[in-house]
Amino acid sequence: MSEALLEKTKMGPVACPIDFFDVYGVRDDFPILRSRVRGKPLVYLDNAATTQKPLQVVEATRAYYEKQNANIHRGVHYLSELATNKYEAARETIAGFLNAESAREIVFTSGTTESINLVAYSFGRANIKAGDEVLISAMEHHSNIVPWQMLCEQTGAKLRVIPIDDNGDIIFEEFETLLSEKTKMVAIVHVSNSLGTINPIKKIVERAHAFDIPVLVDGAQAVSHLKVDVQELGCDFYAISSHKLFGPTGIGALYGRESLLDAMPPYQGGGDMIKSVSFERTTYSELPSKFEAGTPNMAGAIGMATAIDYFTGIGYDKLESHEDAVLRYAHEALADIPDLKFIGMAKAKTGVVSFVLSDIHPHDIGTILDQNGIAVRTGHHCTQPVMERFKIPATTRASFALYNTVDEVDRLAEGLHGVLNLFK
Amino acid sequence: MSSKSLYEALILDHSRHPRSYGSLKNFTHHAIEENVVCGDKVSLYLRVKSSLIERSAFTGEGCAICVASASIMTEQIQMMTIGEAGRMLAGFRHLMNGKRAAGDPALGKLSTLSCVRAFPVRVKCALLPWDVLKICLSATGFDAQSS
Repeated sequence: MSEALLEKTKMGPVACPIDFFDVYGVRDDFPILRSRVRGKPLVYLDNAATTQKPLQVVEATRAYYEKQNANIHRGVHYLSELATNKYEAARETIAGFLNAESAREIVFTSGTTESINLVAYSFGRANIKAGDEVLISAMEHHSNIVPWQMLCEQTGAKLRVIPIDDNGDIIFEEFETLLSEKTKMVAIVHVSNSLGTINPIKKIVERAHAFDIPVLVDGAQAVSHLKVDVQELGCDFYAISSHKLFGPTGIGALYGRESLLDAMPPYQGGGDMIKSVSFERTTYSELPSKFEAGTPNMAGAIGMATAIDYFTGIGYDKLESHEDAVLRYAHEALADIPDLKFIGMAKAKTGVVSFVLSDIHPHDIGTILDQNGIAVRTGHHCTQPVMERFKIPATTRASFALYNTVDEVDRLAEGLHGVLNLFK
Repeated sequence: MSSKSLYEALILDHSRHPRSYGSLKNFTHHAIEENVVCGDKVSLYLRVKSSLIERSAFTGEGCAICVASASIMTEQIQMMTIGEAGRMLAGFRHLMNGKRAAGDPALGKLSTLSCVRAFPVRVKCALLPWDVLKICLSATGFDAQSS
């Protein structure tokens, strides 16, 4: 795990002496964490599916609807101007969060899935043709497989896949071999949702750019754990979701390099994305409005920005060392459980412990843990090719966020011992 | 209801030692159904002669509930007529959606699975083998829908 910490600190701010991280103070901000489930205190370990929301986000959303709601970019009235300012300020927050060069490079979408679809549809259909290749990895979420598959089916391009090894790391030499002048896009996940692997994005981008190939990064699982700087990574597109980042559902963003976004055709047509419309000809808005047809999710954007402010306010150094300690503790505690096998032991890893336990089906494990108030995810985690790679139908996955504690890991371990006792 | 009562002895026994597990050589009917979300998969084989299910067997993978349900099902339908198996299928579905009481003697051992009702997300696990049975019965010309 020290390697993991090293890899992560490379990308984030210089590690400073660890301040005290008040995890119980943080938990107080999340009302749902005080719930009891089936008579037991809730242990929420399904953060890779979605994170819980702090009061600050709930209240910002409520305040928007109570005091600020109007349609944006249209009215000359007070509320419209207020809502427009709030919405555009949210865009600035996200630009700052990812260290984009400008807020014009941030397009609001409904989430990571739509962000990837936008690129596959707009960039893909304009630039990728029969005989070209799109390169993804074997650990992609279905949302970074299917849009490219659809593109390939329509254009006659070919989808190529970077294999992964038994630890759940991409095989870098294979990636280098697969790169060629035929490759027109590399689309890869930053942090795997089913394995926890942190991919070496900077190195991947360097190799791809040597062939002038743009790189799209699926950052859905990364941004709640790692400091992401798109200029430092050098990637061309970076896709994120608010709901995996303590913000509301139904909103996310796409970062795109301005020169690329500028050259791309619109993705959807409608209001807000046009300069002028006549039946003869329509001219499109400038960035980023060009990609935001229709009334957007204003409350969502404001909630997302509030979540980012909340989250970054804690400090990446503090939360990374806390999360690392919890993850390391989880690996140690679970390693003591007989017949438990980890799936995914990448050199650099964050947020996820995926495992199989004896020959007990993950769904049975999930049901029994749920009876103890413990929420984990069981199944293929929208990464069926990963399950195939490891020749298993499903795993049990505990995924962590900044508010999880080592006590909760103990509850999980205790629950798993209970599962073994029941099935022995 | 606790997970202990869900995984009661009979279910655990059938899931660990499924009866009629394996493929049939001289089968007359075969179907596979998968629950993509869980990764459960049941492959059912029937040998039907003059409307009688002489043998039934299954292969596949799944959770304890799914495997136990498949095991009890294949045990129960053996030597039943197609009509009897169809009625049992209907009875079991009614049991799972709460339209039939657990103590119904016609259901025999299947009543054990009534505990699954308290875990609504797991009902589909118990039903998967029966969905496959329905496909096989339909292939014999039996109208599983109307029973």
